[in-house]
Amino acid sequence: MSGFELQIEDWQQRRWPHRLAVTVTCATFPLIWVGGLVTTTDAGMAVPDWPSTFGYNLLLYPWQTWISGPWDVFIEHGHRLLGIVVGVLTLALSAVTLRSAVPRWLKTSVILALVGVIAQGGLGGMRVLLDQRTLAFLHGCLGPAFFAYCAGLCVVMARPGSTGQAAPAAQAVRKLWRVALAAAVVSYLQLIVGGYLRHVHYGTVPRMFQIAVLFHLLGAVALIGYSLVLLRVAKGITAVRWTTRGLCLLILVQIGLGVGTWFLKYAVPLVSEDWSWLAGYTLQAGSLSQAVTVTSHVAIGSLILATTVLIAVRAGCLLRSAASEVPQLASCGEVPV
Amino acid sequence: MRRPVTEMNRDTKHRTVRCRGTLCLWLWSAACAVLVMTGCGAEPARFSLNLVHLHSQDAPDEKGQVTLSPAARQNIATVLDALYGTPDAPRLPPLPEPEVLNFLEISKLQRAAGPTGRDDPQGGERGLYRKHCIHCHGANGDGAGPTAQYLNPYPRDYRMGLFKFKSTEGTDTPPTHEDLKRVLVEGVPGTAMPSFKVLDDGEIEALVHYVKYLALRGQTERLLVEELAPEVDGRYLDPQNVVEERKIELLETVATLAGTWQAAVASEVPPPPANWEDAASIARGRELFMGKKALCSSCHGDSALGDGNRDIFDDWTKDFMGPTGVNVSSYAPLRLSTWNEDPRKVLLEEFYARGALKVRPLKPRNLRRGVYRGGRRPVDLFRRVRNGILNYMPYAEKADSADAIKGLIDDDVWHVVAYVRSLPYEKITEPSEEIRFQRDLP
Repeated sequence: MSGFELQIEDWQQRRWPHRLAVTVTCATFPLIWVGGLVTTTDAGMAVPDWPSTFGYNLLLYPWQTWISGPWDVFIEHGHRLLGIVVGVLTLALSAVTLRSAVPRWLKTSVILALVGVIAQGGLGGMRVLLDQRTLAFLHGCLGPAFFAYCAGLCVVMARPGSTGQAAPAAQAVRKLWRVALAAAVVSYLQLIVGGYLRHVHYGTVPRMFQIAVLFHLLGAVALIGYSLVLLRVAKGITAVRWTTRGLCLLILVQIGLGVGTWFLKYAVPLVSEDWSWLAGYTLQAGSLSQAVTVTSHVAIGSLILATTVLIAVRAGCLLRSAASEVPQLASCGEVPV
Repeated sequence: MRRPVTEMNRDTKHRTVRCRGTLCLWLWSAACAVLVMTGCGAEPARFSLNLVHLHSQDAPDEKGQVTLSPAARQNIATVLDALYGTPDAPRLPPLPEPEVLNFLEISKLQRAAGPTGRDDPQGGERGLYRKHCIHCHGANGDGAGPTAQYLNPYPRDYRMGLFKFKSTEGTDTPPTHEDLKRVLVEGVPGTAMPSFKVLDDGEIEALVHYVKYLALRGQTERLLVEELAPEVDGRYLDPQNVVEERKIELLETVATLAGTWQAAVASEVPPPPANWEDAASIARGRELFMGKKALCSSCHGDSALGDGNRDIFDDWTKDFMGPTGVNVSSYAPLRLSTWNEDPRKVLLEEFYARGALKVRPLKPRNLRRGVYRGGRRPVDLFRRVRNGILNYMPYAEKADSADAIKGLIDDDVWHVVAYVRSLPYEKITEPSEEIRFQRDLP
């Protein structure tokens, strides 16, 4: 049996785990969005109990009361329900993967995802029970990490395919891998600093907030730099070319959203008196534009992290394929059991 | 040479054990970090003392050095807690005549205070101050929340009981309930103070009550530090040795403070003259604007672009600038070469270390924008001119006749308002013929 036939047989085993991994990833993104909205609207304590909702079983909470209730309760309870959906999907992913004839490391990876989703749910619950903003911050940091991890799983489980082109130079792929990994680390640090700014304790001295903002800006500059390097390196690597372009677009959107977030939350302190429109602009607390812009900034941040992880994992797969002398494979799942 | 398989297995095993050990160590450290950051040692929310004001009392001034011992400071904190409760459980001072506190409702304070959340799906949200205000205005209402440093102007410090945009007469007079409500609902254009139109009336009411509560608490604290505590180094405030006479004296003083809030009423605004806002009215307003009676152009500039006197500081800054000897006329932030060597800068740094925000000179409003932070209605502008803004925009003294050397009659105030309202539509004003210098101003 040739090497490629082994890949096909392997893919048959990975088909359902892959589909479920994609489903989990797709379901996690709206969860992150709604989770961001919970923080934006400070709705984290809108439901004071956990795992129940106002004494009801979480799943049996009357939907009419949920839909017609206050906005913060709607968001918080919705976030919990979505969390359950993602949890169940991750459980299904684990069960199906464990029953499939896939490499052991893949099974371990999926179990880790399950541990991650359980830990995330537990953190969310503890945040409510202890009413601790620090736990909310950790919950907000673990969510994007889980999302990016699932995106990585999608890549390693993906169907191996042939690009029909010559294999990219190993040196270029190695550089891609390094830069993508660095970009992933920076984008995650950005999420952590951003999370700190959003969950900042009221007792924090202004100086700390100032330092965090400065770091966030420096991180943004670093990320722009990394994305430009990625764009250049990925030019000759078909497997990641479009993903890298997408990453650059996301970073561009993210910068716009960051500026918008600052303006809609804190106005523009230095130039507001010099620009006629800004001088007369009144911020609207809790407005739709504010909620959408701020939350989108959070969600796109997670998407950037997932994209950098995706590029890094794909580059890793390319390196692995090159090492195993099976050219043109853009998947890591070809390792025999 | 290839190593035997058993040896390789042993190496791999050792590496795996090491990896697992390192992983466990990391997980353990992470768990410890989470515990330290969250559960362990978490204390209930407390108000903190006004360290900047305390230090201003320590700093040498014309009254001589006054120092409060740590024990006295603790006594002040204890007395304040006894009078006003904590950020989670506010209470009202047990005054002998509780009706002077009618401007505060405990149920509304309780709704605005404490952690954010709600107890039942149909009930109102609580912890409103922590949700909407605390990140800029701080838990004490000190205007030094985490975000404050980046905002321009700085968030308001309630603790002096001073508010800029109010309808009451007099610098030290508290605003009315409606004044504060208006700022909350309308916001302040061009600043970080947003409009809270999305909140319902009950929520706005709760927040206004809480702001007044923090202001009264802050004023009481200042009073304890300035007048009562230094007498005997705060010893009589010791809760363990309460002297009944002193307690009564303290409550009477708080009642006096509360009375000013209870009595706050909007000043009367007379109707504008018949010719208001016609060409003659605007011309008269311009004349007054440029002249020495109204003195508007000294700060707003002859062109009304806000390019006049920049050597202005707000009352909150002057509160701690005073003891450092840095007064309005001597502070020159732009002359950094000399300023950096000035010993007064060291004194200022001491205040910064205690939470004071960096000194910023005020920029007079560019009136050609047509943006008025205190409200754009004619009645708001009339009150701004007539009542001034605290100690940095002087009020127009009431005159008996238009020919009086000082002050303005009501009609003249209306003419100034007419001119101000016409400025966004007027070509840049020709400079007045008379050239004035700061030293020539009265």
